[in-house]
Amino acid sequence: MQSKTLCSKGACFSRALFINDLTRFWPLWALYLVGWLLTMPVIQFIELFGRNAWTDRADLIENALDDVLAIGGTFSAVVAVVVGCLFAMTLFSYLTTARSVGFAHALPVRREGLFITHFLAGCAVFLFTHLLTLGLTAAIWAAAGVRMMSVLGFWFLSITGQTFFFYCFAVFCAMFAGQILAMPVFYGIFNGLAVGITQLIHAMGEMFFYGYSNWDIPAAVEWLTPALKLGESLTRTYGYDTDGQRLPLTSDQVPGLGAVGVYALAGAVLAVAALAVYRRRRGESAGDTVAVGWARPAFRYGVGVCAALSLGQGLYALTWDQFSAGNENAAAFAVCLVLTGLIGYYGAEMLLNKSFRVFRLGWKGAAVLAGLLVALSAGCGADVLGVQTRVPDAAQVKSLDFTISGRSSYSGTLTDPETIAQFTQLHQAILRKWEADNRQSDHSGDDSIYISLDYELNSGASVSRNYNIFYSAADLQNPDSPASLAADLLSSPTVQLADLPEQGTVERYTGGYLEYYDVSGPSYSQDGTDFDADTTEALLDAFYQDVKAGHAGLDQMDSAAWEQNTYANTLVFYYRKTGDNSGRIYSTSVTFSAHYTNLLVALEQAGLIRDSSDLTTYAQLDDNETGYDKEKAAVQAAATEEKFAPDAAETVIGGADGPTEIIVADQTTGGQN
Amino acid sequence: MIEIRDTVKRFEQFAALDGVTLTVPGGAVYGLVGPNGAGKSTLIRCLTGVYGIDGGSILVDGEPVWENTALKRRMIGIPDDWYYFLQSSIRDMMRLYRGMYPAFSMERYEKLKEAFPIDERLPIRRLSKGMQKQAAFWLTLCCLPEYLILDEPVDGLDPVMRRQVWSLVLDDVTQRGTTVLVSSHNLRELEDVCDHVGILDHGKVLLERSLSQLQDNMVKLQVVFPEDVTEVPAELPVLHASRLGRVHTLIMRKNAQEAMALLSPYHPVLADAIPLTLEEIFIYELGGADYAVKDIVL
Repeated sequence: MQSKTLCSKGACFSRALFINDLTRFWPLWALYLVGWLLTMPVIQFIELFGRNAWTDRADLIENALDDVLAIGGTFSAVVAVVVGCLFAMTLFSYLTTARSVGFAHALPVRREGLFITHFLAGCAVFLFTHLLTLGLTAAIWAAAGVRMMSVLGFWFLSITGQTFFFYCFAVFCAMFAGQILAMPVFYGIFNGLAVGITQLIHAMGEMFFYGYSNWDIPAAVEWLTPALKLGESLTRTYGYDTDGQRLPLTSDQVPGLGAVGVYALAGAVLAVAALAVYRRRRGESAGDTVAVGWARPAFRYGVGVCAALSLGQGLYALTWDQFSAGNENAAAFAVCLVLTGLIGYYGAEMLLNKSFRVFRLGWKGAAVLAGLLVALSAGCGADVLGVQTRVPDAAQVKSLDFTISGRSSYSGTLTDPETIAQFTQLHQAILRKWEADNRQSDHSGDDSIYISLDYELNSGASVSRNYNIFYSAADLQNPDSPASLAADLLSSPTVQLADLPEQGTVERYTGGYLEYYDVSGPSYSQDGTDFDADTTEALLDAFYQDVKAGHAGLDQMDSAAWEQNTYANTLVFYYRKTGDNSGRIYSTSVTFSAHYTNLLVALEQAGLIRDSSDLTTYAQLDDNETGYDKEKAAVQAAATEEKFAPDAAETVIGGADGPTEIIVADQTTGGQN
Repeated sequence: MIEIRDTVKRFEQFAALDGVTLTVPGGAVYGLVGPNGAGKSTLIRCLTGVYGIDGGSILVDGEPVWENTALKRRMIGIPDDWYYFLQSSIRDMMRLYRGMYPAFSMERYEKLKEAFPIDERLPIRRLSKGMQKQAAFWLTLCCLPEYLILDEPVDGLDPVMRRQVWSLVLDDVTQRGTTVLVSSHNLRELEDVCDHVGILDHGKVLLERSLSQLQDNMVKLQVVFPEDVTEVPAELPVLHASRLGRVHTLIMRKNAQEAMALLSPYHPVLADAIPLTLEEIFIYELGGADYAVKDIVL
């Protein structure tokens, strides 16, 4: 058994080492194989050939397909994350001790050869395991009459692609780690770094910038968080019929493998990058936390910045925010950032130098980091980027996702330039008021309305803000006040219609549901009735007429009038989406009031109500609740009164015909009359 | 032949090898000696391709060692702390060595069972330190290396096994022309086996010569001067002098004839030239490099 040279010069692959890898770590490989055999062919065999006499054959097959799809989806992403790390740790652990590094690198194999041999050993193990699992499961399915082998293909490609990617990713991390435990730590951090940093920046923005609200994860960040992206992209869809029953699995319900393919390619790139790092890695770095020289400053500053953004914000929230009741202060923020940033920086320095005596050594870097963090705090405090005052020009806005929540909530997507311009005017008015209030949020007023604005700009950028506007009746008299502008928007037909499914997205309405309240008793009860597609169309026509006539969105800024006129009865419409072949039924609901004259007539004509008295306003509902509460309170008060009314020293003993004896402490005062 | 030229190896700011130049002739047994921290193990790791070098060159038979698979198949080393896989037995390790080194001889493996009385199926980690060292020699000698690099090779071996190991190594040197580079602090033992010596200190080679040249080049003289000469004449090029009664012991960097000629003008009552041991040469050479036993009163 001589080592075969597969490269032109110098062994790029060592057969002896490859076999050594396979035999030396066999328990891990066996565990992985047994795990998959149990999860797939064994379970499939039990499900399909077990004594499930009470289950229909088609259901058994459907269940089998469902199971494999689920295993190939999010489950396989979790398995791949763990297995990739374990395999890389096992095969490249020799890089973490000086003795094993000395042994491996003195062997007559080039560094490329060592890397490729160990790397391929890992690939061979998982590929063999997956192929064997695939073959056995396919044989069981063929024997059981399961025809949809594409589901098995999906499982195989999904698990293999993901395992390959995470294995490559872990190997890449292993190239930077000089200690065995540093590798999984790096791997874990890099897996969640992008999304973590993004959310920490958003949290900082929300803390410092008036109206800033953005917890969205940008597409790029999602891609940089592979477990998240893969978990999402491999979620299957289900098809339902009009009765809500699940339809049999069709090929279009099998999730696409595009993301897996992209990550597999990225894995190949990472593997090549890992090889390049390995070639430059110095043998003497075994035992160091970070084994590659140029990565050490990145580690030092990276840990410092991450510690500042996470622990610093936490410390600020625990101390200054509590102390000042939410009045943000850039200086206090800077103190927290610098303190925690330096803890992170020197902690990293201690890990790199394997010594606690690092303060003199790293003071220059610490000063640079502290300077950056102070600049960041000052920048946030002064809003140097103009985040708070930024209002996009309506002409630059491609679309606007809005939510206005007064007494009712309306949300939707707008592309109409005029209405978008109305929203930007509202946005400007909000900021004008904030400036006029010395850049403080004004919480005075009788009522409030919540406004959320997500602009998507023509450039592809997005701006997200949300505000709580407090207002009084006087504010509504001023046509330029935010409250007044919001009221205008609430009664705008465009805004009202945007709350409904977008034109063109509805293939057809399939029916609906009207909710009723019975307020005749001490507490109200709910019921409802379904109606057909034709009635839905008629009701929607009437609803649109009311919107166009300006009957919608009234009273939104006047709580008393809103409660008096708005019905609590929810009107729900069911529909199918254009281009969605999953059979899924979607729904939308509308809130209507006594002002919706056309809709009320249509409801009467459809026989859903006799007249408006069949409907219940929020005021009626509230009265009923209040009445019930009053009655309940009275009963409780009476019970309490009864309990504590008799003198504590007296006890009445007797039956229905009256007391037989009154016992007073220490004396008997009477007997049976 | 191993040629190391102006080799530099740095660990961050510290230069462990600072321009090392030495030559190991083919078929020689070369003893590499030096104080602790001189850079011997670092040099050996560079020579076996574990560490890359930051300057100079390391050539074996005219070819650079670094990433030279063909060359590394002909050379093998036993480091001070020999590595084995945690669960492996000697037999398991043998399979790996056999796959790695084309010249591996199973015939020799079987023969050496007699020399090394160890159960080849036992996990190596269960063996004593000395037995692990025996296992290292067993497997290494089966690879029939042309170049054998040894770092403190007989540490932990009992005297019989030391002789056994050296006997096997020297057999290979005489019969197969194996070139051996051995680093050790056991200078008395090296003196018996080495024909060339290099002294390394602070990452530099202080001197390298054949052992006979080295011994010819330095002499220990025991001298009794006439009564009128109470001190060692200042004109004499003495490296080290000591006195016991009237007998002066002088170390000179001269051969015996030259030293005696230098003494003759002083008409010594007694003058005797004695060859130095390797240990004495080491001590006196490094004494010149400010590395000597210091008289410290505690």
